[in-house]
Amino acid sequence: MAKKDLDSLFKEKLGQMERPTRPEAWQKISSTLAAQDHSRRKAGGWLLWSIAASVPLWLSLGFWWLTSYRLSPATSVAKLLPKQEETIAPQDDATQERQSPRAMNQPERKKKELPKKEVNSLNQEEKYKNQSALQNQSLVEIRPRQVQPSLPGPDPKIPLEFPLPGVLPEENKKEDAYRIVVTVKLSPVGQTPILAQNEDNKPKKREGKIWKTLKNLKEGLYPDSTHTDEEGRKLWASIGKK
Amino acid sequence: MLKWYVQQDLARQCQQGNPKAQKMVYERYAAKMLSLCLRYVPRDDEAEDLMIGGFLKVFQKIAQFKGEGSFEGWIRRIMVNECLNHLRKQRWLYATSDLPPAPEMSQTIAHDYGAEELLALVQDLPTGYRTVFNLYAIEGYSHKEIAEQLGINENTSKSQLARARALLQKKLQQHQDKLNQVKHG
Repeated sequence: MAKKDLDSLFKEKLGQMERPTRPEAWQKISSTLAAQDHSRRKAGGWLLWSIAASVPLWLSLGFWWLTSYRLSPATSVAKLLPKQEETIAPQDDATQERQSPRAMNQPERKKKELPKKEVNSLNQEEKYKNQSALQNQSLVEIRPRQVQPSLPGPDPKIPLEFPLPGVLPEENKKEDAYRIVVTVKLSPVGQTPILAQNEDNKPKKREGKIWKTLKNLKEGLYPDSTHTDEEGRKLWASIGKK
Repeated sequence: MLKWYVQQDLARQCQQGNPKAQKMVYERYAAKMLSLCLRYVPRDDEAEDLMIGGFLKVFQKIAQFKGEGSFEGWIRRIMVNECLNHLRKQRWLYATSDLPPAPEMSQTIAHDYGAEELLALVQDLPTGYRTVFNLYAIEGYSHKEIAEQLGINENTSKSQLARARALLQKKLQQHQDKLNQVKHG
């Protein structure tokens, strides 16, 4: 009797051993596989159907969001303005924050607790110190209006400025002022001017003076008046009607 | 045994979900896999259930087969894992405690045994011995791999294998003695 190694004997005999199976085994396997495939296809169909159904929903949501975003006043203006990072213009140095001398003037606060009286005196000193700095900063030199002395000529011009509501000025529409140049004939020293001799021209009140001046202009006493445009004429006409 | 390219083609057809290819694979390897399961689980119905569960896993995870090795070897490994998982669930693998290594015996036996007789001898072994012997002697696992698969020590695997060999040799000797008595008597 030939003798052989135990492991190799079992491996040789049992490794390639075949035991016939029952046909019911394949039925079980095929039915299970078919059920799994059916459930997988069903799940895939549901997934596809849900995706297809969600497309119009997402589209409507996106349309609503876009319209609401564009129609909102804050975003509509902001979208028109270019972003600062996207502009190619160099950054303006004036926009950079700088440390003001007022901030540099702040004294370092001492954390050490002092008696109340000393603290008050210290605060008072700081207050005065800061106030003086503020006063120096806010000091503005106000110069008196320089009036150029000039020799009286034959036709000196004195500008008069007064507001006229309802009348648009020609030169500067923002300022509600009206400029009329009035020619005054000056008399020699010691004599009363011609206008002063007229009682109607006395400055009883401001409106009377204005009306008198306008009346003189209408009568042609001041031919150098620069107000000769259409609006002036209309003004005169309205005054005459009144 | 099927040629390599036939195996690869079958695997590719199964990956595409072809039912005919799946049935061909089953018909080709089912008998072998059932005998494999019978080596680990003696009961026929249990072994068949394990074989069915193994084939279901084969067809479910067929996409993981990259074609780098033998398709039959890949199926066999799935079947072995299925049997080991079943044994783990039954807690048969944890019944054996650590044993000292058994003394080496002369591993020479008579040669004229059939597969069914040898299968019966293996099935008579205790579960732990049988599992280690199957994995080491027939499947070709190392002790390290067996220890990792079963969650035991390598020395435990070696001792279980030695005891399984001793038991098998003893049973073979008894069987030989019976045959001799029949012949002479």
